[in-house]
Amino acid sequence: MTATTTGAVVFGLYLVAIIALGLIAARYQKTEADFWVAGRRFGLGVLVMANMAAVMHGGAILSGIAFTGTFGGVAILPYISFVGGAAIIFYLFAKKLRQSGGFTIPDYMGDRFDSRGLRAWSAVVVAVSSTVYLIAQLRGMAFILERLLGFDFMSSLVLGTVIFVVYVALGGLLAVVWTNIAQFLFMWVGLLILVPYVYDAVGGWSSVLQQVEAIAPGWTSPTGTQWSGWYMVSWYLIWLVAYSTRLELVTKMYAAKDDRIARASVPIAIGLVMLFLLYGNFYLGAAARIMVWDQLASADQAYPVLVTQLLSPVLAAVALTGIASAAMSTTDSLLLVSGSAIAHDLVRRCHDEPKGIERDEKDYLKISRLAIVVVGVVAFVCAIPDLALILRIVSFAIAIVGSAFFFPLLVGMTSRRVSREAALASSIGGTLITCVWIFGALTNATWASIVHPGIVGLVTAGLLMLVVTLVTPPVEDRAINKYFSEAT
Amino acid sequence: MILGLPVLSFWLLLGIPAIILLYMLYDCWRILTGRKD
Repeated sequence: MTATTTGAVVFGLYLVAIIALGLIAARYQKTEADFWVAGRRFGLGVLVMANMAAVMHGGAILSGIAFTGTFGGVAILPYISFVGGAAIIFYLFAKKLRQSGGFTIPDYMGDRFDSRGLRAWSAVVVAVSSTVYLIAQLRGMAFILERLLGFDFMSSLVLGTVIFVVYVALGGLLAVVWTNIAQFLFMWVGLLILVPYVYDAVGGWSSVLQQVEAIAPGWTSPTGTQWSGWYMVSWYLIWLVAYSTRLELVTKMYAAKDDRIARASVPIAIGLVMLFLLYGNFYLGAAARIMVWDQLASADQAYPVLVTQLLSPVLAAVALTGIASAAMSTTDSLLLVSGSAIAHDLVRRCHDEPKGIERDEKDYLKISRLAIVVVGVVAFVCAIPDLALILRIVSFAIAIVGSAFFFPLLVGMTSRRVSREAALASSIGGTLITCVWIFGALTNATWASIVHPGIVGLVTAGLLMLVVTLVTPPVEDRAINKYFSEAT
Repeated sequence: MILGLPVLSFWLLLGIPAIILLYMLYDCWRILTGRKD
């Protein structure tokens, strides 16, 4: 069997398996809570795996090896951001989010600040940012299918989108988590196959680090081969905020059995992710730098070239297919997050409930599924043209989400004093300034190149939160008591 | 084998997140065993 045939067969089996998981998960869907938060049934093991899959995906391995191979030791910095972001979720967000009993971040924004306007605004930010990100993910996935299965781009896009929409619409969060775990294990297989071969070729950790330092001086230094101090600091801050407001991770807290499980799942998952990256990025990145760097047209090819050079064609196909399937794991989470913002936050909480419209849970389940299909179709249509602009906007998506939610989450969870008006001003003002700065960056304006849009947005959001809180009254106790149990 | 200074600083920088993580895992153990609310 050739490498291409093996890849196609393995990938075909994988696609059949995820549809089957979607069909099984569909049998557990009775209410809206089953669909969006899997009935809050997740124990520690499942939630740890779900958290890991929310943070890691196959793209993290491909781009991680390329990034680490190129820049070296500076790639340790994401570890600090990772752990810092996880600490914020662990100590400040997880318990209160789970105890509040909501489904989504717009639920938190609306309940904590007692504001329908803030709920609607948050839902729009979540829906738009997730859908834009989804468009880029669908295109990336179509390229992977194109290469693996030999289909043309359009057929790959249709196939990929239909599969995602079908299993997410059928099984909701339960299907997403089950398939993410399957993708994650598959990715591990792809990586572990390499271990003995890389060890044979370049030796263990110390040996690899000394060899790579010899051929790329500075690789093992904390600043890596070419980064400036200021660039590192702003990068670190952006990612700290990005990890602590990562929608796919934060909303998983709602699905835990109780708040202890929600909290405990965070450090365990992050610890495992760090071990994973230490091997998957640093060891393999350094090995790639030593062994194949001269042969690469671009750094992104580091992993595929390493695999092709070290493994037999069939094993190489399995390793690449494992990574490729996991590269798709972000897509379903984004579809779910975007769908929940529309069906749960906008339709149910912002439209139906204020108007006294009563529907039963079966109707809301149908609306939820319809929202997934609508988001899928919109993202599919937008993914057809080759819009480089979308890919550039996506690179700033974390800045928009961070500016909109970081301070309302951080301050709203820790202070009773903060006001509704302050949260509105912070979230809307921070997001708008970030968007203006992104527009400047996209049009290559000189003023926009001085600092990352996310930093400007965060500073604006923080200042607005502080100043407006000082001149407006706090939210009524009735609304905030569930976030401050000592007062109840 | 004695590691050179750059390699040593690599491990030292890795130590910062490792220490924070270990502290979180300690708290995690206290939460799961009911020693911490």
